[in-house]
Formats: sequence, C-alpha cells, structure tokens
Amino acid sequence: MTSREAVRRAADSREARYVLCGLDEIPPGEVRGFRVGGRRIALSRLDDGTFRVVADTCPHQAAQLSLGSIERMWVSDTPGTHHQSENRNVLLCPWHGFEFDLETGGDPCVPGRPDLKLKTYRVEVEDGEVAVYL
Amino acid sequence: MADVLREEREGVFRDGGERLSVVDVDVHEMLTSIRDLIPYLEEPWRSRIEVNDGFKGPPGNPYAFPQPTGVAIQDAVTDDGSPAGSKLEMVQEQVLDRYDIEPAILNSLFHPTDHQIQPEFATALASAYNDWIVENWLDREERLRSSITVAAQEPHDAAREIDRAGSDPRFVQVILPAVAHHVFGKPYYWPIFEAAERNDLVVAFHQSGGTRTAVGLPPYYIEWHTAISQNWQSQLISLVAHGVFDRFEELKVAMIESSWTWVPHLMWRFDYNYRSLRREVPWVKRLPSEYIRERVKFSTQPMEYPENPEDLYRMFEMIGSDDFLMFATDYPHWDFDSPKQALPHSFPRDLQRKILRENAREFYDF
Repeated sequence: MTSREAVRRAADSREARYVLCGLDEIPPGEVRGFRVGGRRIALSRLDDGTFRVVADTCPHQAAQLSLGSIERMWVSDTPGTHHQSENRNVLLCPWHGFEFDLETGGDPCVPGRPDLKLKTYRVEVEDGEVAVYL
Repeated sequence: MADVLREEREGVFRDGGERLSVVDVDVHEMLTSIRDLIPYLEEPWRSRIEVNDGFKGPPGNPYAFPQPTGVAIQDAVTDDGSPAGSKLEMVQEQVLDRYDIEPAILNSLFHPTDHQIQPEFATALASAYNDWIVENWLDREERLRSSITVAAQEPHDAAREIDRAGSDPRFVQVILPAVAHHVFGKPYYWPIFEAAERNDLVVAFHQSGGTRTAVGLPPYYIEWHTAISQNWQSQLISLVAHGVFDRFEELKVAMIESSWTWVPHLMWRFDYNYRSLRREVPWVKRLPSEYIRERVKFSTQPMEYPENPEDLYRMFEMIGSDDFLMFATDYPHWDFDSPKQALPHSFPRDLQRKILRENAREFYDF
C-alpha cells in the first residue's frame, strides 16, 4: 500500500496514522520508544525484519519497556534444555525482566491476566516508512 | 471440639447420622531396636547388625534431648522403656479406637537415605524395614496403611524397592526425608518419582535426622523446630523448578509435618519470581502456584494458633483450595494434634469434614 492510500484508509476508519521512522532506521532485534498521539509506544523490529508495536509502559511498575530488549522466547520441552521459539517473540521489561508477547501483548507466564497485558497497535511499512495506527 | 465431631458413643463420631471416621496421614511406628530388622536381612548385611557390641544403630533425631519431658506425649510412654510408637496395641487404643481413625498412614522415621553407610547396605535396610512393617503392623491391623521406606542415594535401587513393596496396596506412598543438603527435584532422583507414578503412589516428605535450618543445627531445639519448614519449602521449590511436575504429570506429593501457613507466601513469591526468571527454567510451563494447588497436599499438624482464629482461616483461604489440607496427629510425638480439637471454629463445618477425612480419602484413593 502506498502512503497516500494508507492516509485515505486511515481517515475512513477513524484511525490516526503516525509515521514513526524510516524502514532502515531500526535494525532487526532492536526496540525504540515513541510518543505519538498522546501515547507512549514501543516499536520493535523482529529478527525477520517485521515490526510490532505495543504500549511502552509496563503494567507492573510503569517502567519504560522500550529501554528493554526483544528476543525469540526461550522454551523447552525437556528439563535442563533450552532453545528459542520459532514463532514467539517477547519484549523484556528493563526493570524486572517480565516478558510480553509481541503478538498479543500478554505476559506468557500469566496469559489469563488482562491487567498484565499490553495494548497492541497495528503497524505497517508503507513507501519505506514505518507507520503505526492508533 | 471440631464442630463435625459429635461423639455419640465411645470412639465413634457422627455428622448428621453418618459415621465420620477420621483419616490420619501421620502416625509413627517405631522399631524397638535396629535388631528388629535382623530377620528381614540377608547376608552380608544381617551379621553387621547381629554383632552384639551394644551399638544402637544409626541416630535419628539430631538433638540428643530435644524435649524436657521426652519426645512423646506421656500417654504413649511404654511400660518397658521401648520407644513410644513401638507397640501396635497402644496405637490401636490411643489413635485408631480413641478417635475412630481409619485409616492411619504410618510414616517411618527410619530413613536409610540419611545414613552414612554403604549404599547397598542402606538399600537392604530399606527393604528389610518395609518387610518388617508388613509383618508387624499391616498384617496385624487392617486400619493401617504405610509409606515405603527407600534409600534415595541409590535412586534406581530405590525404584526397584518401590516396585516390589508397591505391589502391596497397603503401601500408599513413598516417604523421603525433608533434608537440607540437597534437593530431590534433581534428575538424579527421578527414578524414584517415575516409580512412584508407575505404582500410583504419592511421594511424601517428612522431617528426619537430616533436617536442618538455614543456619544448620542451632544450639536449642526450639530454634530448629521453629525454623525447619525451610526444608519442605526448598524441596517443594525444587520439584517445581526442576520440572518434576511437568515430567511426571500424574505425580502427587504430600508435605507431612511441614506446617502450612507459609504456603501463601511461597506461592506469591514463587509466581512473582517466575515472571522474571521463567527463561532460566523454560520447561516449567505454568505458574508454580498452579502445580502446588493441583498436585501437592499438606498435613494439618503441627497446627499454628494465632490469637484470633479467624486469622488462621484467612491464611487457609489465601491458598485458594479447599482440598489441600489433610488431618494428621503425629502420634506419638509431643506436638500431637487431636482431631477433636485441632481445627478451630473459624473453619466452616463442611471444610472440617474435608480436612478430617475427605481430602485424604480422595488424594490416596481410600
């Protein structure tokens, strides 16, 4: 989708569109914080090059999550072994290390706790720009 | 008196007309001497005990004179100086008949796991002890069930003993000592849990001569006795953290004489830490508190009595399960709890029934 089409669609859907940065400004594996539309959001770029956006405030003690890091979630089916997930990526809080699933915003340890879940936002790459829809 | 235990006639309690026999998950049978095991040992081990040099065998309690009045309630003191708990007739009269208890689970205080002896000898002693239990207790009193004694330092041999003894349905669990010097969650010990699960047996933890506090053996027994819950806590944490409950999905665990009011604290702290530290133990799939609520039961004794009994009930409610407590007397020891008095009135009547009987009946499939 071109950025012009995106702007038109956003207007129709009453979503607010904000361009965060250029596609190449954030390398894979990094997370960066933005303040747009009165909200603090964390933009993560996964190691496959795609982007995810979640709220940038930890529901635990309000740490700024974009000061943390992202990784493929560590999993194991056999005690004593570790490997990284094929498809789950998590954002780690810089204070207590709580994990947040970048697809759902939920804490994988307590997926049933809505009060410990981050809000997620749609993010698109359009004409070489990274845009978030709030 | 516990509200549900209305005495209609000597030794029989009824609730709404229904007989309410109590289940006691912690009664201690005792050897009169290590020499009781001689008939149940093969060589080369038999002659090591037969040596008549006055040696009394391995020590039990780490404190030489723990209680000014002795380790037993005075009722349980024997006429001939043999250890309290060594006479079946007294257990029948003072526990089974007096409180209409059926069944009671015998938990050995003889733990070859603690003995600093040849590991093969420890294994033979465990096996002999189980045979001694069958012939001297289980065959003589049908209201008794028992734990299987093992020498856990040889886990594969312990597993074979669990298979052997566990073929007798009167053995309902494997007993392990709540020790301070290592954790039983480590994979080295998994043959024991595998065998317990294979034989549909609970694994129970009880204090032993290897039970210590965080500072070892402090000078006074009261220091030790007040602090020893640390041992059960560490063992329970290890079972979760090493993935024992994930690996053995049918395994059930009983914490006997651990006390239980610390459980809310441990679950809260463990769950909180799990959110931060899950990546260290990714094989643990769920919140630690979920395993504890679903797979672990605790004995009531030793009950704790805050000034306001409602506080005790609030502690119970914080655990979030009506099923997790099972009544225990700890006969014949000095901190014995009576089923008629142990539960305060703050515990609702239906809950008292569950604790005194139904929780254990369901857990052990009685």
